[in-house]
Amino acid sequence: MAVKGKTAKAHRVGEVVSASTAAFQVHCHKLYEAPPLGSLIRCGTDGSLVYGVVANILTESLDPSRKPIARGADEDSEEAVYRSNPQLTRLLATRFDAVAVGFQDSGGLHRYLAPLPPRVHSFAYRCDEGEAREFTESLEPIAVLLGAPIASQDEVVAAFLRLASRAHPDPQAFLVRAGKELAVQLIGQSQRLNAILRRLSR
Amino acid sequence: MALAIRERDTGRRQRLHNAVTAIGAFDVERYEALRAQNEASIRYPAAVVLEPPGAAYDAPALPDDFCVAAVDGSYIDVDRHMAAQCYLINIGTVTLTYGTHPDARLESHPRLYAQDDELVVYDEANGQSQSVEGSVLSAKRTVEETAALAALVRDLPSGTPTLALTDGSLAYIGLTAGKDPPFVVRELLEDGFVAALQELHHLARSRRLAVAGYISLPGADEVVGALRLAGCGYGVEGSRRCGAPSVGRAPCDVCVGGLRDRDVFAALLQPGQRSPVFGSSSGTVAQCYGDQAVRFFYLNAGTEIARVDLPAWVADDADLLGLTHGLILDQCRRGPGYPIALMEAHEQAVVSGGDRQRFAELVEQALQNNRLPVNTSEKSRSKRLRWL
Repeated sequence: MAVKGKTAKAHRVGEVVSASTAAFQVHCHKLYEAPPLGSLIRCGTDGSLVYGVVANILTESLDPSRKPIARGADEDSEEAVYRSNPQLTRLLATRFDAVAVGFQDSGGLHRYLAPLPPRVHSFAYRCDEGEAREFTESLEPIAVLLGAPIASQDEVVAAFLRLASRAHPDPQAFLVRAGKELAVQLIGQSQRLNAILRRLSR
Repeated sequence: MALAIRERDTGRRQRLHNAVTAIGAFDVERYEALRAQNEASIRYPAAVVLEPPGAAYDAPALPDDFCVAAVDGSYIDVDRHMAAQCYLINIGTVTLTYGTHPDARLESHPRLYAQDDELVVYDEANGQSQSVEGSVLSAKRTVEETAALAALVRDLPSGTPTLALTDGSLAYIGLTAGKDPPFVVRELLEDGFVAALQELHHLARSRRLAVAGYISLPGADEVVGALRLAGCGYGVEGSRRCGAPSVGRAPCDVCVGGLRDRDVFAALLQPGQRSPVFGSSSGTVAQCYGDQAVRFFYLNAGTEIARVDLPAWVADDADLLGLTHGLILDQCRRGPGYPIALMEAHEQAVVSGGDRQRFAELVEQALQNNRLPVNTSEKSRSKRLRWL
C-alpha cells in the first residue's frame, strides 16, 4: 500500500501514548478532534506501519486529580464556556483507543497483528479512502476485531464496516460481502450476528 | 467555654460596630496629620489614608479583548540530609487571553541551583555571607516569580490590555529592612524584587498594563490600625486609653482592636465592590521600594474579602486602577472564588511530595553518574530503607 505523501500534517490526528501489540492509545493533538468510532488509522513510519481501528474515544482532565466542574450556568452556549475559560483546551485531553488490525512492512500489507507495537510518540494518521479501500479488500480484520478485548465490540465492528463501505465504489455490495463474512465468524451466535447486521443497514 | 466564646463574640460585634461608625466619620486630614506627627512612636501598622476610607466603588466594564498573565512559584529547600547542597525553584506561568481570539499558555519552569555563588548571598564589602535557605529562599522565589512575570508580559502583544498578577503581597516578601542583613535586603529586595517591578513599570509605558498581588483571606490590620489611631489614639504619647483587648481588661468605648481589615470591609462592601486605595505603612517599602511604593485596596470578590496590592503607578492611574479592579473581579468569577490564572499558575508551580522524592533520587543519580561520592545522612537513609 502506498502511503507516501499521506503523512502530511493535515492527516495527523495525534500521538501514540501507550502501545501493546493488540492495542494502542492515541492522545489527539486537538481537543475533540478524534477520528470517529470505527475509523481506520495508521501510525509509525514507512517500513514499519501499524494499522488500527478506533474502538473507544474519551475526553477527560489531563490531571486525574482535577475534576472538571460545571462552568456554563451564565453562558449562552457551550462554545461560550470554552471562550470564557480558554485554559480548558489545555487542561482537557481527547484520547482514543485503537485495536491493532494489521501492519505493513517490506513484505507488504498484512491484516493481522504486527510483530511489534508502534513506538510511543509515533504520529497517528487518519487513513484516506484509498487506503481504507485497499485495507478492506480482504475482510480478515473482522476476525481480529471480533476477538479484540474491547468494550462495545459489536458496535466497533459495525462502525468500522459502515465507514469502510463508503470507501468502496459499491458500498452495498461491500456490506453484503461483510455480512457473509460475519455470518461465518459468528456461526452459532445468531442474536449477535443480527444485532451487528441491523447496525450495518442503518 | 461557651460563655467565654459568647462574650468574645459580643465584644467583637461591638468593635466591628465601632469600626464601621469610625470609618464613616473619618477625618482624613486630621488623621494624616496625627500619623505624620507620631510616625516614629506608633508600634502597629496604620495605613496611609488617601481618601475617605468608607467609600465603595463598583467595577468598571471590561475591555472586549484582554490578557491576564499570572505567576506562582514553589521550591525544594536545601536539605542537609541530602547528598548535595542545592535547591530547586519551580515557576509556573500562565497567560490567558480573552475576547476575539481566546487562548491559554500554561508553563512550568523548574531550575536547579547548585553553584557555590547560588547557594549564598555574598557581601563583598564586608566578606559576610548568608545561606539561601528558609525565608531567604522564599524571598528569592518571589524575586524569580516577579522576574518571570516581567518576562511573560514582555512577550505579550502590546496592543492588548493586560493584568499581570502575582500570588501574595507586594509589600512584604519575607525580608525586613533593619532586621535582615542589609546586603541580603539589597540583593534580593532592591536589586531583585523592586528591579522586577521597575521592569514591569517600564513595560507599562508602551502598553496598557496593570500589576497586582492578590491576597486571599488577608490577615492585615493596617486600616484597623488607622481607625485605632484616629479613634482612641492608642500608641500616641499621652493617649494610652486602652490596649489590645485582653481578658479582664475593659476596652475603651471606641475600641476597634483585635479586628482585621477584612472584617471591617466585609461589613462595608457589596459583592464586586472595592474599597478606596490605601498606602502601605511598611517601613521596608518606605526605605527600599523607591518609586515602586505599594498601595492596596480590599475587594469583595463574591465569596471572600481579598486584599489587592498594587504599585503606586497603577493605583494613581484611574484607568489602570479600574482595569485591575475589573479584571481581578472577573478572574475571581471565572475561578470561581479565586483568580483562575493564579489557580492555574499554582497548578504549574506546585512541587508534590512525590516530586521531592524523585528530585532527591535524581540528585544522587547525577552524582553517581559523575563518579562523585553520594553522602547522605543515616537519618535520611533510615527513612528510605524502613527496615523491620
